[in-house]
Amino acid sequence: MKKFVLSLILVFSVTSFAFATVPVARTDNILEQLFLARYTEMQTWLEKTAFSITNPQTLGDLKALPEKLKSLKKDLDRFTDFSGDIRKLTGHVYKKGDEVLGGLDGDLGEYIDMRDIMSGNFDRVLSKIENEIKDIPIDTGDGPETEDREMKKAAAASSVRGVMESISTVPMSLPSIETATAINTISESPSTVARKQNVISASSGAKMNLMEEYASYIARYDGKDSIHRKKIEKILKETENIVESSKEYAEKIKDMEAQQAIARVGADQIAMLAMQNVLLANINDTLADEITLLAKIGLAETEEYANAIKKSLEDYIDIYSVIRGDK
Amino acid sequence: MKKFIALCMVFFIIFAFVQPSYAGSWWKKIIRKMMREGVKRTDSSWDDAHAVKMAYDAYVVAPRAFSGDIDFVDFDIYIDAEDDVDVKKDVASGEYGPVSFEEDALEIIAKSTSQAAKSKMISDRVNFYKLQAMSRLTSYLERANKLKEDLKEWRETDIDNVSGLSLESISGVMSEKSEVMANGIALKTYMNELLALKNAVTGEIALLGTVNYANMVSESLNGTMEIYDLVR
Repeated sequence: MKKFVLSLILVFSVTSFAFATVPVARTDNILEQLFLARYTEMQTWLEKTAFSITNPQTLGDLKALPEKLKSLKKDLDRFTDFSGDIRKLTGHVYKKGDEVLGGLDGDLGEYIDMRDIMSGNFDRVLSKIENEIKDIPIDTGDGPETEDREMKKAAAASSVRGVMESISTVPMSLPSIETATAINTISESPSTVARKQNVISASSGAKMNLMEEYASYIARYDGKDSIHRKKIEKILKETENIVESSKEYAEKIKDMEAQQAIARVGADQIAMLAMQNVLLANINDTLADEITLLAKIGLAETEEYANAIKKSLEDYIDIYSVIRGDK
Repeated sequence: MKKFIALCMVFFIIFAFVQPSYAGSWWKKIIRKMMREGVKRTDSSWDDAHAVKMAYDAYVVAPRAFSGDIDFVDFDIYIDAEDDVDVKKDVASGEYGPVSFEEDALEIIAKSTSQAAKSKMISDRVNFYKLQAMSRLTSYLERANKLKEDLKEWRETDIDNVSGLSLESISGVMSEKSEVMANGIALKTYMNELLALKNAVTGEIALLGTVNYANMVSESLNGTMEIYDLVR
């Protein structure tokens, strides 16, 4: 009996200790089997539902990105070509335009009303110039409608538009208008005093036109009611709405699934990034306006530039006239 | 003795099947093991396949995306002082505007027969240079307008295709975010272009002032010489 008891104790001890040293390998227990079955089910759910992408459009933006960025590079290349073309064509339009308007057959004087000019109104003369300039032949090449030719055509149209915008900014700086105005001033001034008065009035008119151009930029960008301020306020308001919406999600988060919350917050982040892009687009527009304004300031500076060249030329001529014995 | 044997048996039965700490231990061990191994468990063939796919992505398809191993210094993308362009010859050749009016003056003297003709020729030459400057400035004006026109297509931002099951929806959001960020890069690229154009147009305006500057230097020199004439 004692032996039997001892052997029984031994058997129980060995099996108990052995069971304790093998913690996970057992699969014959009903609980383990149930657990593993559940685990496999969970893996299947992860594969079929959580990690799967059933809608091919889901990653559509990622797929489209390379082409989109390629188009940016293409746009910039086209812009470089455009820049080269427009530099050449603008010079051509100015030269030919001034020849047509101020040449022997030019009838610009008929369109210059001294009273209009004195009040800074150049509409009539500008309308005449526009009609003349748009008919100036511009060589955009022959042959089929290639992309290169299309770009040249766009540059030609832009150069005409640019010349018109420049002339409307500083009309009195176009030599043909200046000459026609000078001739009209002489014929419409009965005395020296009247002539001086007319010259001052015409120059005041030119200044008023320029002031209107500059003031339009100040009005657009400065002051509480400016377009710029209103746009910024709108952007800030929209951003505020997005942030408020995020806050609402955060408050309700306990009622939602975490993944749903991540998706919603992600969507809000996209909206905020989009708002940054709106700001960037507005900065770009502002920069483009600044370049236009700088170019217009430069156009007005050309008068001083011309006077400086004239003085320089006259100084040289004086020197050579003395050398030649003319003086 | 019989009582003792019975007690031992009861004790072992309780120890083997009832003792709660022991039961909790192996159960917890299984869970811990599963949590530690995550999806890499090799209980099913899907887990193996998934691990292989992940490894292929990480080491073959997109190693940069997984490791973040991108060295921007290698790109040579920043503008450095060494990138300055030497324009000495171009300026001297008149590419940036007239440098000297000596030849113009000689031509006018040689060709003009009267004072009126001389004045007319001076005026024509001045107008020629003025129109040159005006056309250069006008080209900037239109280039700015062209850039303004081009960047309109990068303004569009709509949030769509983010629906889907569970993580699919998050993938859609991430995809959208990438698109919006790419738009941001495009808009910043245009900003760089516009700033470059702005610098160039400022340079053009500055060039206009150089003739006046030369005249003022000339006047200043004359003024200084007058003082020394008086001293002598």
